[in-house]
Amino acid sequence: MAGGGGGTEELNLVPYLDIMINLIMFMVTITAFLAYLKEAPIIAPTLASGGAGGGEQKPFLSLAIVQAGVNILGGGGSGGKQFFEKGDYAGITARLHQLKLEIPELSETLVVSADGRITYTEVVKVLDASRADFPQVTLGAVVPQ
Amino acid sequence: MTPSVAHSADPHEGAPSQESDDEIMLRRRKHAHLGSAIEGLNLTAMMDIMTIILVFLIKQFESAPQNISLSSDLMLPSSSASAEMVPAVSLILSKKMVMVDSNPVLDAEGNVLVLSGQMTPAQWAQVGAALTLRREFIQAVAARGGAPFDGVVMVVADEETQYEHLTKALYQAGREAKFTSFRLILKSGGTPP
Repeated sequence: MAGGGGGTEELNLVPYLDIMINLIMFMVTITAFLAYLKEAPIIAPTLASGGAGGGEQKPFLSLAIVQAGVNILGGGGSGGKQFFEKGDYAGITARLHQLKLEIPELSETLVVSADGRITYTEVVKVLDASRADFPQVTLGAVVPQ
Repeated sequence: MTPSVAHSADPHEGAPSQESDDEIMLRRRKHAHLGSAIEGLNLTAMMDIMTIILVFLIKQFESAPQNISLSSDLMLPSSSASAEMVPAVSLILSKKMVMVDSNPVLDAEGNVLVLSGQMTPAQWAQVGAALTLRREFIQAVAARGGAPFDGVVMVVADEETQYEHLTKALYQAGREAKFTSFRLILKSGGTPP
């Protein structure tokens, strides 16, 4: 090359190709990772406007997560209080489904509250257990110990 | 292709078809002999393919939600939730740090801050102030023709975050910073009951 005469030298594309392959592998990895993340919407509690009131509220259920397990509490006169030991997520799902069938006018919004020391993982597991029948969830206040 | 077409068109003409196959073999050998004279591989076509793939991936990455880097301080709980992540303002609660849109608000400097429950009301107020600043910035951009403020905040919390801290963070986002919609960001892979 140094003493080359009039011969045409081609551009060495190999380093450029290496960079391209690395970039592509990085992009593919990042894209695959982002598809790995999902989201669960939470309905924010809203303040009442302070109007005349008098509207009829639909019965709703609330779940209280404590260290020992989960309490299903009937709100708005829906009844159905029951306690499930920690880890019995299938039982929670079955009971919520049963309540949904028994009380057709039940609100689709579930109120979930927990003991302040309950971990986020535990809350998410309970949300997963209830998602089939109650896709809308609002997080309530901390349950007093 | 031509010999095979001729072969299928007239199966009784076995000899001419055999000759055609011989010709093909001869041509291949001739090409193989000539190929030895080629110096180096022509990478131009491969470069074209690589460039197209790269441009496609960059465009896809551009439209994807913002990057959230997980670490030992920020492990998301697994969930069976199926909704795809939509980009929004992020509130990150890791074991050591609270961040709003990747900007640190509170840094424990090595100590476990959020997990230990040592967050004071003044520190939570700092989180609220950072979210308020972010909301005001988005609204200012929207006033100049940018995307409108949709009031959505993504809560990215470590799996060991206590419920008390989660609700305090949501309180700051909703009550103080006037965000109206919350989304919990979770790791795909939880088994539905």
